Amino acid sequence: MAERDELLDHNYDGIQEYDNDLPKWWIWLFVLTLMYGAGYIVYRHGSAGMDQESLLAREMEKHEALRAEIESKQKPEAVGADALLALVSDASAVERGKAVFAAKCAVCHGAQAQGLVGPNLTDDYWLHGGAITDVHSVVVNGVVEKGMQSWKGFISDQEIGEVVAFIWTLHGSNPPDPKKPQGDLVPRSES
Amino acid sequence: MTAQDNTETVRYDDDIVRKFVLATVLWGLVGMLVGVIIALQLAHWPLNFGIPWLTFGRLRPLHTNAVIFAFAGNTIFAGIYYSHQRLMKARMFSDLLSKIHFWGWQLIIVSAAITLPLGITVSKEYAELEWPIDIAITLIWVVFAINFFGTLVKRRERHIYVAVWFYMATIITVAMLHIVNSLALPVSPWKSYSVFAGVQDGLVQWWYGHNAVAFFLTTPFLGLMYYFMPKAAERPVYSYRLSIIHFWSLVFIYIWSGPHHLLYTSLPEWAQTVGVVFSVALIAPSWGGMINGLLTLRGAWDKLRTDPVLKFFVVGVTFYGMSTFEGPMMSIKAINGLTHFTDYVIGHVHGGALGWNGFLAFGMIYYLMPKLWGVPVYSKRLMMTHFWTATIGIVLYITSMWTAGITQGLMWRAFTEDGLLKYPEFIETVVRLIPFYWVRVLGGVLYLLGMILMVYNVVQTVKASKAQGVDLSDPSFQVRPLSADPEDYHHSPNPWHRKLEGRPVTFALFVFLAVIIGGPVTYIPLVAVRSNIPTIASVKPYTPLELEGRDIYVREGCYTCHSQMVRPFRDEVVRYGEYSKAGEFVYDRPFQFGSKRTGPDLHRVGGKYNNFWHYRHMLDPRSTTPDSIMPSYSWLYDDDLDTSLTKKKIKAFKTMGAPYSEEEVNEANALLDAQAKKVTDQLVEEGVQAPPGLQKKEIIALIAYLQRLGTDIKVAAK
Repeated sequence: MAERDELLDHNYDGIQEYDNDLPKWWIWLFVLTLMYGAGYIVYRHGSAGMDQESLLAREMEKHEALRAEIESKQKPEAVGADALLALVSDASAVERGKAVFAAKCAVCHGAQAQGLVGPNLTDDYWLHGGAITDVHSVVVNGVVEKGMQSWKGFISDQEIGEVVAFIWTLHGSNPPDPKKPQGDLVPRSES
Repeated sequence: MTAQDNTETVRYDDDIVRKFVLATVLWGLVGMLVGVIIALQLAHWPLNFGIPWLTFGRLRPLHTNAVIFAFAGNTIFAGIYYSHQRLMKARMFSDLLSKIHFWGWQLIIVSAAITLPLGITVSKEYAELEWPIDIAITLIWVVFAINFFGTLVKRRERHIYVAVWFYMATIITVAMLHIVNSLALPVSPWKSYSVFAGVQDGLVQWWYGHNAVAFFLTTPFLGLMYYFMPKAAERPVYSYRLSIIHFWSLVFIYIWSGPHHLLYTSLPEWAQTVGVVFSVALIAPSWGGMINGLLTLRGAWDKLRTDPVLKFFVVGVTFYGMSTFEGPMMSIKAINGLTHFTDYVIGHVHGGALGWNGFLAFGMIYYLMPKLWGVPVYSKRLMMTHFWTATIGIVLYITSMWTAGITQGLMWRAFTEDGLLKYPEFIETVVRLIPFYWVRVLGGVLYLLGMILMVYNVVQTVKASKAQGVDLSDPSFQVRPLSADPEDYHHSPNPWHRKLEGRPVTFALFVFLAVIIGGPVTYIPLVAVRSNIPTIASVKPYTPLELEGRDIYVREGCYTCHSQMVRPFRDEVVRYGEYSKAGEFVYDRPFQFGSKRTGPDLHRVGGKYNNFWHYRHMLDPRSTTPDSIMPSYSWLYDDDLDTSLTKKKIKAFKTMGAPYSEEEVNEANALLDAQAKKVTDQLVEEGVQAPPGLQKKEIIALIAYLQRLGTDIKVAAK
């Protein structure tokens, strides 16, 4: 750094100024940042497909391919009535489902599934069908217009099966302070 | 004629400086105290106390306004009134204007301290005050400008020093920013709507917001640095050439950088690119100031060991250098994608506010105390303790926020191998931050403790001055008047610029030209060129009830913790839904993009839950999200919705282009009642035990608004 430290004849309330040159590294830093800017414009706008929509589209394509692949590995019978009912009789699966229920479902359906923001899940009344596959489909797809979110992609498909199994075991548990029945009467024997 | 005959007596007005110094200390204490309170509220939600005016959403704007406009503002005025008179060798233009400036500004601060906790806000960050106060700010700023430029006119120093260049840039640019960003259509003395909407409003706001940082927290403080640092160090300024180059590059480039607050949003990408390019280009101009400050201390480093004033200055300028490097880095899109909406940004601004603005203010005040009160500062040891306490406080504050920000940013975007969000529940990413929030509280408390030491030191110094009967009348000096002799500029290294320094009005004009271009070049095309904001046919204006609900959302400061901007990222699309489009915000006055996600984004919350969920959640957020740190809003269930302005509000929106029919305007209240009944009926159907009069309560309007959010494009899909 060339510092001549020559004083200029400036004097402001006793403040003086040196006539030093701009530090070289500072000039280079400035030039470098300007070059970065020029390069950046070319990089972002010089060719098609670098806009944020296209970048997202490519990312989502990969994401959806990955999800499709994971789902294709799942055996179709895993979501059928037989497979779900098999989970119901698997005590450890039900136990895991119970944990999922407490973490995700209880805030809306109540700790005992007695119904709160969402409907009672222990009675014989169902808004979207009373078969175990119907319950499964509601958890997977949600009922968006009524505020039930789709859990697909938020919890694993296995967890969805387990929580459905757990819910199935709650039938007739008669929890205290139940929400009034909603939907159609579908006795368990007919489902 | 002898030299003796040729002199005039100047008496500097130091009384006004003393006033501003004391106001700085007082408001600094208040602003930092509110800061600690809201930091505590984030760490421990019950400290919101369930009282409307004590909730985070209302206190956060009070904190930012108090620290920026009350603490930093009074610092600037104190420093300018002291140094400007001495640099101009003239008393301020008018003592009366000085007094009007002082008392007017304090009155504005008091009105902010009353209206913001009451929820009277336009919700534009650092510009929250409603239109009558905005007008008052404009008037007082004009008073300040007349006083400042009047002094320039009657100066006895031919050339204006670099500090004054920075003061000029401040006065001119802040006026421009404040007026444009505050343009609004009032519907009552305490309610107005921005003349800009959605993305345009966002761009204007961040043109303002970013340049409030530039021209309220940077340029005036650089001016103060250029005066007080060489004074305190008793060393010449390192390089005159550098001050010229970095001044002009700084004021020109800064003004373009606002869009970096809107990266990855619905802002057109050309505007985002402007923000990125100019932000990166700001590193060198900013560092020019740091270099000129630090290298001025060459040969005075030994003083640093013993002089608390220089200690504050050096650390302050170092934080300036750090923040002005960090800012441009955060403007690079890849980094911004991670840090934006997180606590990292909070860490960044506090590096600037606590480190740069705070330390420069403290150093300046400790330097000024003996000069203004005629006695040494009461305790040097307390000054040193203040320095160390505050330094440790800043380090704890910044490091905890950096860590919290990066932690949360990474958690948001984490996926499992199966392509599921690793932390699908937003709350998981919040709970993880609570320990950092406590560290931040500790940092803030230490910084506040330092401030309390300063208050004590200042009070004791003033007392000592009184006890010793120090004569505080205006100091007088013999000064030669400005001679009319033409000057030989050929000896100057920069003759052209040197000439300009002798012509302040022309200088001011050039400054104005430098700052006027950057803003309009970005926001005029956004307003004028339709293709910048592609319209979406299914996007309709809010219903009267939804609009009233939106005003409650604004009043409660929901935007201080929730964004309404789903960015075009895989994780955000999976977590929240379709990314946000510019055309969705065309009826949003003011925009509510937000800048921080303490809670999740809300742009796609409409229809995600049923009304009952919202009803329970707003009353007790823990009932729907067990670990939530959100305050409960019980008063929304007690207070009736004020519908006295509804019709006027709809009319105002119609005036500004929202396609309401005449009938919709005239029947606004009937429409509101009908929708409120519908929402209430739905709630009852979903199982709410409706208390009497529920239909009239504020919560109904808020639910209606939340359920509308982000749903219009779904109508199109169907």
